[in-house]
Amino acid sequence: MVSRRGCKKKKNKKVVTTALGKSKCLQFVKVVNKGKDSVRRKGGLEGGDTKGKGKKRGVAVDVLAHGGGFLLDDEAGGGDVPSNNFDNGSPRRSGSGLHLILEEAVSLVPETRMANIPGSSRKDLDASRIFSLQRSNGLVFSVRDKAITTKLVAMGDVEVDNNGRRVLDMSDQ
Amino acid sequence: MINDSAFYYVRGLGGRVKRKVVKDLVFDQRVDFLAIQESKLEVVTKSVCRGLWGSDDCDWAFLPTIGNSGGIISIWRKSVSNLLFSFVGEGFVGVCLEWGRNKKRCFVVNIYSKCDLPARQRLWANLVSLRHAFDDGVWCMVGDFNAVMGSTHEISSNRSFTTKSSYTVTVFKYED
Repeated sequence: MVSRRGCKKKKNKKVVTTALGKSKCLQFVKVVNKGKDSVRRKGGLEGGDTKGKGKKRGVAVDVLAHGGGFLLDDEAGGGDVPSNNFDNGSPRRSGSGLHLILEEAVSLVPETRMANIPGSSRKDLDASRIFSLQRSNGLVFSVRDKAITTKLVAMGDVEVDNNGRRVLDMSDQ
Repeated sequence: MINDSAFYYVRGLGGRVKRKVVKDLVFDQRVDFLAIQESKLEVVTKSVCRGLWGSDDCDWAFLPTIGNSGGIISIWRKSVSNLLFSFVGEGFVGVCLEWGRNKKRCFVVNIYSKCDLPARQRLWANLVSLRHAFDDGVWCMVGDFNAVMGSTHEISSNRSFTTKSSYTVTVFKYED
């Protein structure tokens, strides 16, 4: 009988505390104290060197060092700052187009309330709004309400499809 | 107001099993508004909607798939709503409904944003212009925005980057 004693696989995981905090996944990382606070990656990586499998490992460690986040396509090259656009309730940087556009819209266009408009006037207003939006990029409106379509017919901007619905194709304008 | 709504990133609705899952979801949760992204359907017929909703009490608007991906479907309960108009643009389908006894005006936009930045900027430019053109109602924007909201969302996205969850839910809600 073969004794298995002493054949236990050595664990490669080590917990390392660096200046950036305690890393969680260090299965591929080996630390060699080669002076003060020096960290050497297993696989021949040292000081940003990238070869073969070590490239991925190096990237993984770098991501952890940046706070555990990954960078979006539009945020690449943004430096070491994590994309926390809603920090303290206000957008800090325009990492994506969403925050940039909303920021501009909120700051430039005042909010108006028209809840007290009666039904018929409101629908007339809807028709004029749809009519005015006809230059927008690729927008297609399908209007089912009769009052709105009547108004749009009067404006001369309505097509009728096979089902009898009145369709306003803004892309064709 | 719309009591219950469900948003489902389905990755294709061709199979019976997946349709049954959606149908069970609608029945169990008593959903009033269902927003589906990545339907991968070129045509959405009444029978398709009836199969997803589980009854004839539904109305729908959709954006057909382009190539082998995309496709958005919005289905809602017909008996409690009145559709005024719907609008379709690049990456979104919106409806203007009069909802409930009080006929509260609701705008519900079902969004499936593309990944590239210019497309996302066009999408939000269109949505912002629509939002400010029709500002006399409740707006609800639902769907998959392909955007990171904050540090918490970012960390969770990083961990599940390779095993993305079956559906993605992000909600922006504007109320009076």
